[in-house]
Amino acid sequence: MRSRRCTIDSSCIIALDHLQLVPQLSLLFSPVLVPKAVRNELFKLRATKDRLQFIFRSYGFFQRCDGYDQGTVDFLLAERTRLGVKDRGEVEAVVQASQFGAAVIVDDPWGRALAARADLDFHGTVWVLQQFYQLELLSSTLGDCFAVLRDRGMRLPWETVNELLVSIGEEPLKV
Amino acid sequence: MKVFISYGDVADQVTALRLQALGAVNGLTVYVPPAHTRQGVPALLDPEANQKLNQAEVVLGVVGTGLTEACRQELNTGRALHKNMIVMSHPAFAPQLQAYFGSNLVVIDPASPDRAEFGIVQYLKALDTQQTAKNALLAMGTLALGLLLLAPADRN
Repeated sequence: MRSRRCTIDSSCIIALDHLQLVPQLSLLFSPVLVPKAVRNELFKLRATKDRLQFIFRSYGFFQRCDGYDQGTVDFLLAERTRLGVKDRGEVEAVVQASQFGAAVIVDDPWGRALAARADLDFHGTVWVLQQFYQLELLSSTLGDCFAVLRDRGMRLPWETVNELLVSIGEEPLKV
Repeated sequence: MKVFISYGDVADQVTALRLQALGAVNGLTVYVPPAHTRQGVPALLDPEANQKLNQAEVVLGVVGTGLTEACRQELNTGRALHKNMIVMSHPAFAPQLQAYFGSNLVVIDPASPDRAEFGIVQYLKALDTQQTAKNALLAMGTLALGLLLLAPADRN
């Protein structure tokens, strides 16, 4: 099985961890590179810190990666800061992916636009779950998976989610 | 059906995790030891791994990129517990494993993968155990064969 390496942003890690689908990501990507800023974001809360540490201890294909151009990150972050947002995770995920020829798993719209500008292969949590559904790796329905994320307050493109659910014959979610 | 997958080193874990995911959706309960068990040289088998080995009906060894002490301990424990087991190995590690696992060992030669599949079938024919265990070993062994044959592409 040939799989590509990817970088990943914090929201996707949280979503897959909630659904207990982190190990299944190995069927799509290996290794999964976690930028320092993403680790820092997840380390801010005890619960997510513990979960990320568990993931690193448990799954060898999840790897810390710090070797990328911080100057480019700072330059791109200046644009982000002007918009009043300080999260550095998605910027580092995109810059790291660009440097290592990896795909990016990112949900944040600005991060996705940045990845598109860099001509990177980028996907979000919705795409990952869709792949798992197509590979028949889900033990519950796709709608149930998204319902769990909705109930946890995850920010996803719910219109896209419902279009996907309808396309596979499942009921759309009430959002 | 409970399956324990012992993998050679941390790079082999990705094959084990893929097998776990594919096994789980087909009704198998598959345990893969955490990556940290492959760091350092443990004096004793990880307690959780020991417990899962005791509970397992089938043990599958996957040795593609390295052979750690933890893997060696798990496979030896599986053998001592008389578990139904197959150890699938890259040719480079076969000399270290042959003496211990004999007929349980299936060497995967990328140049002739059919011999590995033949080896699995021959081993299962000779195995005196329940058909469900044979089916699990055949399914997981065949999947492991495919994943190990294609795994080098991941490392390019």
